Amino acid sequence: MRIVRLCIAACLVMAAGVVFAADQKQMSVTVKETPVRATASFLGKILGTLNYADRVTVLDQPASSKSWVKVRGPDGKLQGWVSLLALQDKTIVLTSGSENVAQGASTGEVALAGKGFNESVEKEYKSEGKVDYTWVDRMQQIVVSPDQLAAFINQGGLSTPEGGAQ
Amino acid sequence: MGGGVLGTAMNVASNPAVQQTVQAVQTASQEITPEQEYYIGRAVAANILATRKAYSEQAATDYINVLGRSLSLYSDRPETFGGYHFLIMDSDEINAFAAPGGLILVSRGLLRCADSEETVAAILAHEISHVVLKHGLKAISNARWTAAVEAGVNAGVQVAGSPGLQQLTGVFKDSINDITNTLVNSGYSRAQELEADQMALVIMRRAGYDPHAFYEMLFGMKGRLKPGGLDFAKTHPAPQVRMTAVEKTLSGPGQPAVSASSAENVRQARYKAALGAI
Repeated sequence: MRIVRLCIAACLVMAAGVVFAADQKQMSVTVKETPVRATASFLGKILGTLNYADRVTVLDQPASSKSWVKVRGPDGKLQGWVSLLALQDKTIVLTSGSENVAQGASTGEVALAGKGFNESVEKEYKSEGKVDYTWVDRMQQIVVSPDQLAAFINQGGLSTPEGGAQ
Repeated sequence: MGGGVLGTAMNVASNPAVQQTVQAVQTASQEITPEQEYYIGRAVAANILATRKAYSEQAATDYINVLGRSLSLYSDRPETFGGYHFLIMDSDEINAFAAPGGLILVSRGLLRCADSEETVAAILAHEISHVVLKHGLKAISNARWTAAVEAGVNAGVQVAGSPGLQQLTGVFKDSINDITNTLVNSGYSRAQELEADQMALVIMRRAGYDPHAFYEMLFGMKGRLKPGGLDFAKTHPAPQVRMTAVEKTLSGPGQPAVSASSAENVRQARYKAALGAI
């Protein structure tokens, strides 16, 4: 009898674990790439990078930090803090077309999924040859490194950035 | 835009399936995806730079990028799809353009209205605020949303040169024209400009810059703007109007005093080194 009770208890614990795992919130990355940091700060050490539309599992969302969540990346290995402002609850569908428009409209999952202002549209727009993107591409190649940012903020006596509404 | 595209859009709007889609998209028109905002912003910036020369002096460009990127971290939108990037335009006009998604162009003439890191921060914080508040996207005519849905429905697989893709590109082009015309010719509404000013004060205060520098920057601009100019003189409320609104906030209740930073010398030195000869 005791063994049966132990088995039932073990099953309940396992089931609770499964339910807990299933209940873990999933979010999607809304920016081209976003760093995963060791601490909940824009100046925290970067552990890795997440890409657009990656689904992440939320591991922790402390009440003390309005703007940061601890997540696990899609590879199951990368774990750390990401700005909440680079995430959304809804799944992002990467392809566009009539099927996605209909799906997006009926489920409300993806805003403007089929509107399709994307790379294909830009290529078509460029092919008309009227607009030169040279300087736009150059300005997007200007990257400020995390170390540069930290030095600028610290040496200039600026506040530690919390990110988002404070 | 092709009036034909819009015309067709109106016809398909009677189709129940499309109607449902139109409704969903109209609801979502305020939440255009960050990816789409990115491609719209790139095209807007490219159009503006088609008639304006870039000022590529390295130290100045690096400085406004590190300052601007830092300021964005104190905004309500520290990250955008492609990130914030800043470029100086080689022009004496007093002008700046914030393309959707965070591509920000400022003229040498506008930077000359500043005389310190704090006052340059005021300029950049105002432009970042336009991005945060998505003022550019709000300049897209409502008619485009219906056309966009219809084009999306017809697009299917987006193959280069296909009619569906050409139709979408037509809507894209019209949306870009709406924004570019607003930025260059008509300007945002007075309410939007004053809203961006107020948000800039918040960003500056969060960062630890004295927000009174925003008033100083406007004072500098007031002395330099030429009436009848095709720059901020045309597209923005008069500096005095903005100064009055800013002053009201700065002297209002709940405004904590800002203590002088011990790092002020560092800021002034790096400002002088980068933009002293702008």
